[in-house]
Amino acid sequence: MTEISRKLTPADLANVSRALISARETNLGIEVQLPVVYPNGQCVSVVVTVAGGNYIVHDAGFGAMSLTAAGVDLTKVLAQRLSRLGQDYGCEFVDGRMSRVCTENQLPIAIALVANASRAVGDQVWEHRERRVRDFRKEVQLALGRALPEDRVRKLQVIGDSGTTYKVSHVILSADKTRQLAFVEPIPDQQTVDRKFREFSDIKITEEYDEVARIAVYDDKAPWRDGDLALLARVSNIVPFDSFPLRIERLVT
Amino acid sequence: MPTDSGGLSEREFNMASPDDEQFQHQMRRYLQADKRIAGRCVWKRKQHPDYREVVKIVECSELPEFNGELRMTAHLSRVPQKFGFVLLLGTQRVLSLDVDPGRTHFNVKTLVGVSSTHWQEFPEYEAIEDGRDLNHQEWLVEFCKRSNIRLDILYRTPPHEPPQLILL
Repeated sequence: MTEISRKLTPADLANVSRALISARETNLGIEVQLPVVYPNGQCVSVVVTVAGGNYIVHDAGFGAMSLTAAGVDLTKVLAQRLSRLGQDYGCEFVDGRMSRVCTENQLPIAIALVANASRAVGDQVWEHRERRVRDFRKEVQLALGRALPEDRVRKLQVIGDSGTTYKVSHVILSADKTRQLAFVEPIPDQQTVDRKFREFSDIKITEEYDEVARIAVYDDKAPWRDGDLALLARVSNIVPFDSFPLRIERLVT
Repeated sequence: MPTDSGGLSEREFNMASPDDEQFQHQMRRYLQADKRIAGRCVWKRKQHPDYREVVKIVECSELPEFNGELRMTAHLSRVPQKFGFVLLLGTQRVLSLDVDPGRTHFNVKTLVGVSSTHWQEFPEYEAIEDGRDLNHQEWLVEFCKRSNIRLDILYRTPPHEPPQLILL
């Protein structure tokens, strides 16, 4: 930290803050860069153009582009949410672009509002914080792939006794592929237990699947409450991931 | 059965703070591991006419359970064309490259601005300038070299349709 050499005046701070704003002409119109920042550290810039006797201030899709680069897909649902968010700033979010129509006198505030609305688009990355760096489902899939030929494992829609349709993650077939040997479901965490308990208990009482084993492979590195695994054990074979290859081997031989 | 997230469950690993040492070790390991992308390079418009994107799954035989992808974005009309490359694990950025960003990047730790093409790497994400003048394909090759990705894709240049200069 350097020493403070002189007393700053409000005018000094106003000047250095203003210096963070710049504008230049590009092929899109006049691009104004503001001291407003997306979560990835990039400053927000907006474009000013003229159409139909009015000024249009827009972000040229830069806000949405920062979201895409952060691994968040601009789905229809997200676009609807961003449209509502844009309204809070008096802006429109259409086709991935934040914009606002205004008169010349309104330009400074419109520029500030569009810039902040665009930053708010980029901020949506915080709503999608689930990283899924490691995917337990993928680990189970890979373990199956190592143990069995590709054509002996498939996904399947199964109708339970209640009439509910379930997408079973992995179905292991017999060597001649005429019979289903087991339904396998990865259980990465406690949150999955309720759903899979329902699925397996509904399938368990379905006569058609009487002969098919139900295997719940749980992540043995996760903290489990005794009750969770006991509940799953009532409707399936619970298998820790560590023992899963051995369990498959026993099943298919 | 080898799972390689340093003794952490999926949930613990995915929720781990980027400051967690074990997490950082795995991220560095992923960056250094041999990886590959294959298939076609399709520039998609999706819900955003202003730019196009390509998303490719990154295969990593050493850490197969890791959920990696390479995302490329390219602005359709801006001159010079602004484009980006990012290697993600889930939504965690491992490495990114912004080419001709057209605006300043603020380094939040050093409070220094960078206005030209720059790289950012986990976990500091400090923007480091790169003054080279390369085309998109050459930048892609550089990106893959640095992130240890073998490129087995059918490459296509991003579309670029700049409108005439709009005068106020």
